[in-house]
Amino acid sequence: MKSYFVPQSRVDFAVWENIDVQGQAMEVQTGRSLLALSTAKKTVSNSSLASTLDNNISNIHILGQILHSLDLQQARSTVLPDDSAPASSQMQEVSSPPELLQVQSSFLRGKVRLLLSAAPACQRQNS
Amino acid sequence: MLCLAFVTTGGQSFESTVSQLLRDETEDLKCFVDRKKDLTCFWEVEEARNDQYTFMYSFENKKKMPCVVSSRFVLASNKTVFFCKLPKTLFFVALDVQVFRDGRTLYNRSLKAENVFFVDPPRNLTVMSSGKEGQLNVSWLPPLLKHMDDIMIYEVRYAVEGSHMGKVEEKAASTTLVLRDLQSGTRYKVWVRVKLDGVSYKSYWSSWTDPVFADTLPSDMDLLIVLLVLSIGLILFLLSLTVILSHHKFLLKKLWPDIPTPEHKFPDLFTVYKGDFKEWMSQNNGSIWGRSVHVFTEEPPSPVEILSEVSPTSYDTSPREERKPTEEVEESEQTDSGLMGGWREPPHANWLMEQMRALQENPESLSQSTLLQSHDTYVALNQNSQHVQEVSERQTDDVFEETLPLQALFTTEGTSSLSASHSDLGSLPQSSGSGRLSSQSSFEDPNHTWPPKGPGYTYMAVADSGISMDYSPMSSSNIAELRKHRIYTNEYKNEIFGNKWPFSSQHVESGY
Repeated sequence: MKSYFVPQSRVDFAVWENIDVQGQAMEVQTGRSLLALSTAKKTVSNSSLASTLDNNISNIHILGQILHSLDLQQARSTVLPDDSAPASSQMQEVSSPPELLQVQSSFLRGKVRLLLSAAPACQRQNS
Repeated sequence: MLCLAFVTTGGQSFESTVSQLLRDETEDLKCFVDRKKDLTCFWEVEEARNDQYTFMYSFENKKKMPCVVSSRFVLASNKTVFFCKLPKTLFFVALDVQVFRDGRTLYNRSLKAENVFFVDPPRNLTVMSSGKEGQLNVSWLPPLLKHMDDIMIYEVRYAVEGSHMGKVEEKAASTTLVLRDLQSGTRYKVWVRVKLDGVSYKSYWSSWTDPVFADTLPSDMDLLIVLLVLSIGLILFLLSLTVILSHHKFLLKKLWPDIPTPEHKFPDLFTVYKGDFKEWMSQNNGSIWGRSVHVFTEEPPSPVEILSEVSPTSYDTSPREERKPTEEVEESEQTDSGLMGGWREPPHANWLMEQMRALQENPESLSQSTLLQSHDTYVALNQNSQHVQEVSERQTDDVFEETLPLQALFTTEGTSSLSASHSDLGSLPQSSGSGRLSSQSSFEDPNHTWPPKGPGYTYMAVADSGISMDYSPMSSSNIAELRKHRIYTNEYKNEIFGNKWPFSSQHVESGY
């Protein structure tokens, strides 16, 4: 059974709010990369699910471009799915595509959105 | 201690939240996240028994952890609830919660914390008139919730004060709204509530804010219309007043015409002679009459047939008794001396007499009579004819009853009403212009008897031009006799018009 390494989508506001924007950006970028790798694995037999995963690949790439435009792109080299503690805390393993998609959804809604809303370029003038 | 912590929590109180969720949440085990991002789960209990409740939870299927259960009586709902607030809440991960009662599973629920937010209502709601008719400016502040100001959806409810029919408008992200198409000059009630947009976070609808009242501006259009109508009315009034004042004489003549008076025809009669006609006639002897005769004579005088004759020497009663349908009109000479001078010799005096006799002998020739046309005027004269105007004032009922011998008949084709004739009497003087003809009812002189009939005739040639009447004087030869005898005119009766006459021949005679 294939396993997918996906980012940790959980958000502890008490912890998150203590991390600076760069740290948040790094978490987001790490997670994005993991999703890209996992999504690229074409191991599904269901055709509809396969097409959904293909769409996700393009979306994840678009997200990378957005982060780059906001100067939040971090060096990819720092993100590697190895056994380092920081990586494990930022990674989880799922066993099925539905779980993969669910994690991806939570990740986007949570950390990615929090990062984007906190990005200086996205701040409202009259907040 | 935990209870105290709940009470001092900012924003909406725990009790009010619980009360609302007891209504809104369908799950038996109700959970919510407050503005401090702490998740609390509670459940209601029917009877406050000493049951032991155990609350267990776990994130991402990790190790299950217990939570301390507390109880609280909610006054607003009159219910007792057990609740547990998690020490740490994680978002965007699965959460599993279990409640055990006496070792048995009571509730089991899987949820995500970011989907059960309970937001406070908006703050500082203000409603003001926008300066335009039928509009109100509504503004408020979002509830205190970090990182989520831009993902809130608001709902504004407004209604006329006292009305139960309200409208709702939704607004996303922005905290201001302009209410349009409102009634002018009306007091409105406005509420606002908020919820998260559901993209990243979901929430229940918050409770409504306390209502705020505001009045819309009174309608300018109504005021404008009233002013316009008033000003137009004033302008029209002034215009009509100006027109009336400038043409008041003309309008007065039209609405209140002067009563015609014959004064202009009788110069100095009323001013100098004070109405003394005799005197006036004597002073104006011949000058006016002769002139007026020629002025008003437009047609040759028509011969007038005689109804009856008056003569001091001989009297012929046959015409009167027989009531021949002759077209005779007996005329009496005015006893006024003033008139005598005006009379002139009729051109057909003797001829008329002969014609009359012929008619008596041969009544069938009446229809072929050419003496007078059916539309000619027939005048019956009487002495005591000073009061010309009085005739017109006679009551028509008196005439009918008394069979006034004096009748001036202006017959037109098809008409022969007495009332019309009497009204014409009054106008006789004006129309003739001579004024020589005056009439008076015979009943004013009841003592006068009909003079013995004689061959002498008093007659007058009448010319009716349709506009005026001209009466040629009678033979002056009979004037003297006439003076001695008061002449009463017989009621004219012509068989041609007999069926239109209300009288009978007896009436005529009874008048005498």
